Formats: sequence, C-alpha cells, structure tokens
Amino acid sequence: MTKKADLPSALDIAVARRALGLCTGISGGALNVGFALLEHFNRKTGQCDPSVVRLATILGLSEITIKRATKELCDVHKLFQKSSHGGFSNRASYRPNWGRMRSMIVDWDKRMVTGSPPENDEAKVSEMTPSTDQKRYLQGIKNDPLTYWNKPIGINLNTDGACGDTGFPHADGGETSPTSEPVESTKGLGKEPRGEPVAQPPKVVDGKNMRIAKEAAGRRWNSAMLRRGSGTYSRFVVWVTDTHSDAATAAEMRRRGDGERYLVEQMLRDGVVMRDA
Amino acid sequence: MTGAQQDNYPFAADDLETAYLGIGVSRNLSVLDKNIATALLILSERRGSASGSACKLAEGFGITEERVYASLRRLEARGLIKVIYEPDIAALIAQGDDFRANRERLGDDEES
Repeated sequence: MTKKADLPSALDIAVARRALGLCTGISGGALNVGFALLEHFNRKTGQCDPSVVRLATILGLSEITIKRATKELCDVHKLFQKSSHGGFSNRASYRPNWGRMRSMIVDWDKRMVTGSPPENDEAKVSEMTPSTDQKRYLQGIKNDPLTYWNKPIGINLNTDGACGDTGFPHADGGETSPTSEPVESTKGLGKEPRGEPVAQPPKVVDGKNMRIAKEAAGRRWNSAMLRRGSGTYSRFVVWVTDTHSDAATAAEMRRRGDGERYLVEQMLRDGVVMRDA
Repeated sequence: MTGAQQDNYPFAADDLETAYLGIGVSRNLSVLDKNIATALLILSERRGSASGSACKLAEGFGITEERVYASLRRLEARGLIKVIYEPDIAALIAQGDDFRANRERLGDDEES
C-alpha cells in the first residue's frame, strides 16, 4: 500500500486530468483508460487496481484494447506505473506518474506564454516496420548481382553467342540449350553463370529516359510473347537473337504493340511458328 | 452549476473536474478534439471564456490553425463549446476611414 507521504493531493489529481487531456500522440483508447484509471484512484489509500474486465465494461471497449491502452500509458507515455499482481485479488495495480503530469502542465503553460511548439514530436511519427528484403548490390562495388534486372525476363541478351540459352524447359523435360555450353552454366531464367563474369553488351550512352524507355519496350514485347503460350514462347526464345531483340525494341518504342508484331512476322517468315488456319 | 462556486471564478471546482473527466472519457471525440477542448477549458477557467485562442492553441499543439478551427467547429456542432464572433470595431472603422480617404483623394484629382 502507498505510504501516507506519497499520497497525492486533490490538486495533483486535477493536474493529472488536465495533463491527460493535453497529451498529444496518444491513442483514443489510452486516453479513455487513463481517465478511467484516475477516476479509480483512491486518494486516501492510494489504491488503484481496477480489473481489465471492469474497465472494459465501463468504457465499452474490448479487453484487448484495455490491455493495449494500459501498456501504451505505462510503457510509451510513462503516465502510469504498473505493478502486475500488485493490487487486491492479484489484480494489476496502477500508480499515476504525478511528476510527469506536473511537468506536462508546466510545459503547456510555458508554451502558452512563449508560443513555442512542443519539443517532443516523436509521437506524431508512426513507427515504420523494418524492411525485411535482402540488400541488392547494384553498383558492382562488392559483389556483382547474379540477376540482371534491366533486361527482359527469359531473354539472354549476351553477345557471347548464348542467345536463347534461357533454360526454358522442353516438352521432354530437358532444358533448351542450342549452344554447346554445359547445362549447369545456366540456372534458371535470366540468370548468369556464377563462376565467371559475363560480358555485357556494349552500352550506348543514351539519356536516362531513353534507357528507361528501351527497358520498358523490351518488357512489353517480352510480356506479349509470354502471353502467346509456353509452346510458342519456348520456340521464340530459341529463335530470338540480339538483332531481333533490338529491332523489336525499336519497333515497340515507335508504336506500342509493333514489337510483338515484328517478332511474330519474323517468326512466321522463318517458319518458327505457323499461322493459324 | 452543481458544485460550490469559488469567489471570482466562473466555474465551480467540482464542475470543472467533472468537465475534464467528461472530455476525457467521451467516445465521440477524437484525440485532437479532446486536446483542444481541454486546452480551451484551461484557458477559460479564470474568465469563463477565451478569446483569440485558436492561434495560441495551434502554436501550443504544434498544428495548423486550420486544424484548430476545424476542431472548434466539430466541438461546437456537438454542443460542447460555443464559438462567439464579435466585431472588431477598430478594424471596421479603419476600413471606413480608408474608403473616405480614397474618396477624398479621387475628388481632389478630379478637381485638379
């Protein structure tokens, strides 16, 4: 039980009510529970141990909201001190933090005189969930990325003669490998061999917008070819070369859809696919 | 008025405490509205009203005056506060004086 000397005066409770009302960055539920706790505080005995069920019933809130609110009041805003099982019938006991509440009121009075904003703005900022994604080293400083993000998925644009070497599965279960490279050198779509660095195609220094437009055009005709079905697409990746890719990208950039039209026409001309009857 | 009213103070102490409790446990008010209502009550404790307080409240809470005015309107719509607009006679007189001065100046120009 609280000692007689620690018992607050009526003024302390009045100050506490004002401080709670002025508290910013607090949730509505926590504010309600804070006022209810103050209302349950016995100034003569210092007893303040309302049960969660009682608070939930009085305030019309759920029990989990009450628990969350008491945790916020005690841990975040430090307006109360909680003593678990410290009350009657092993209920949690709460003790208002009179000093903090007094300092809040003093701070408020000071702000009213000086017109200065509140010093602590932490409560206005939501806590961000920490990112869980892996780091990507795109600058080539430490480790080169194993996946090249700037090219159409499923199309290998390398100039080392490995065009179409995408690992796209054949109907018989094997991987497409038109070149004499060992199968284990390609692991999946768009990935490069782990061991040796792959020669990049010569880069033409265009403006940044031009590069972005080219990438977008490449993605568009590649997606369009993907939509034509896995059979057509597997024949396409075997057939396609850098020349076709560049021409398709240029056509796509001229007019949306022309990249796909160009590729289909070329595939029909080369007999890779047959026109539907 | 239910509680014992103190001398020279417009509200009784018990009434004030109950009013603060009412603001705090209200389920219909947002936290900002509760903040504003509490601050307004604090500012009104001595005189029963507060004037020109929107700017003070905005600075005190670190928010814009627009948000304060919106909150005051919500509180007024719920019947919890009364917002009173009073004429600023000095500003109105200044407007009239400006008009007369302009008229005299135009009159002089036309005459000359």
